[in-house]
Amino acid sequence: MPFLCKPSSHCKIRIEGRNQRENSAHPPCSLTMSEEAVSAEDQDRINTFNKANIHNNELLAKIEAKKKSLQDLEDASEEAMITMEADALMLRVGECFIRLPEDAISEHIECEKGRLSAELEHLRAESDRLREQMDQLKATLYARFGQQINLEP
Amino acid sequence: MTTRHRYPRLTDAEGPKQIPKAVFIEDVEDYIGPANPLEVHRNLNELLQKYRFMEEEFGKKQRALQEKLPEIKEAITVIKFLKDRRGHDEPLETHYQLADCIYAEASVPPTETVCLWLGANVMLEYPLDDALALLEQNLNTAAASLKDLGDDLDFLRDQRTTTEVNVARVHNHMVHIKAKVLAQAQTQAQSTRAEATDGANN
Repeated sequence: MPFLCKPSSHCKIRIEGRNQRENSAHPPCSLTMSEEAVSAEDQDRINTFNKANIHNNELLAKIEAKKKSLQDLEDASEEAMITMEADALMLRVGECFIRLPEDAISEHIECEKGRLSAELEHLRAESDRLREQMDQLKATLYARFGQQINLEP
Repeated sequence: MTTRHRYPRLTDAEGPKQIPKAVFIEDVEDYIGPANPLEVHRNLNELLQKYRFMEEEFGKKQRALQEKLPEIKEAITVIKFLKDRRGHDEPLETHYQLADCIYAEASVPPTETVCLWLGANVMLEYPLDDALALLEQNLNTAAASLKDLGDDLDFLRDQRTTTEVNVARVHNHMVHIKAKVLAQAQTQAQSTRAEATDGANN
């Protein structure tokens, strides 16, 4: 098993031979394999890949959060619909709850839903764009370095 | 490599915010030159730790700012809401948080002004429109500094990745040197043994 030098990040350049002493059961890494020369463009590609990966992960977290808010809004509008009592609803704005008539509340919910869906759409498009970029970089880098580089999560 | 730097340089000219830029190694052997590879490796690792530390610090700052944005946005929503209520006669019925898990009732008559907490134990009363303008300006400033911080973080990430690759390449180079020395020693031993047996046979 090759020793991977970067537990913190996604893209790993293999370090040869370090675990020979630590684990003799493994055959020593092939030393005849000459190191592929890393060019400045390769370095750029690796950097871009790393950043794209970090950004994509951030985006995915944001998408999850937005999805949850949207679901909460759906639940809220359902609950608002089945409430019998007139003027029983309060809307949370910031830290306070404000008593509002039902139609104002449902209007607010619909408006928020529209806003969130648009934001979600935007985030998804951005994430797709990043994934595409990462796939391209992955193909190029694996073609260049093969087993010497590890770009898997 | 310039002769001016006898020791391999770790970083180049400064990037934004005085963050040093990691050098890209064209050729590892040429880069190390006459220096001790182990020492170069150690220094690069040290640099990597520094970049990691900085990245973490910037990340913390970014998270703090990211938390601030929704707060400002919420305040803006409240003020917009109050503005919409100006025409109404009846007071606004609210429950406000008195302490954790305790809410009290308050009725707010239609208002033209609102008090903004400016920090440092200062609260100032503003007309609604002015308050809105101030908060929107704050929001824009916060968004702008968040973007700046994101750019700095991206720069730092590039330097960190470059340094990580440099560490790996210097390490690989050291392994290659060791292997070469070992192979040379082996061939030498073999040839001496061959000579010895040759001598014994004759």
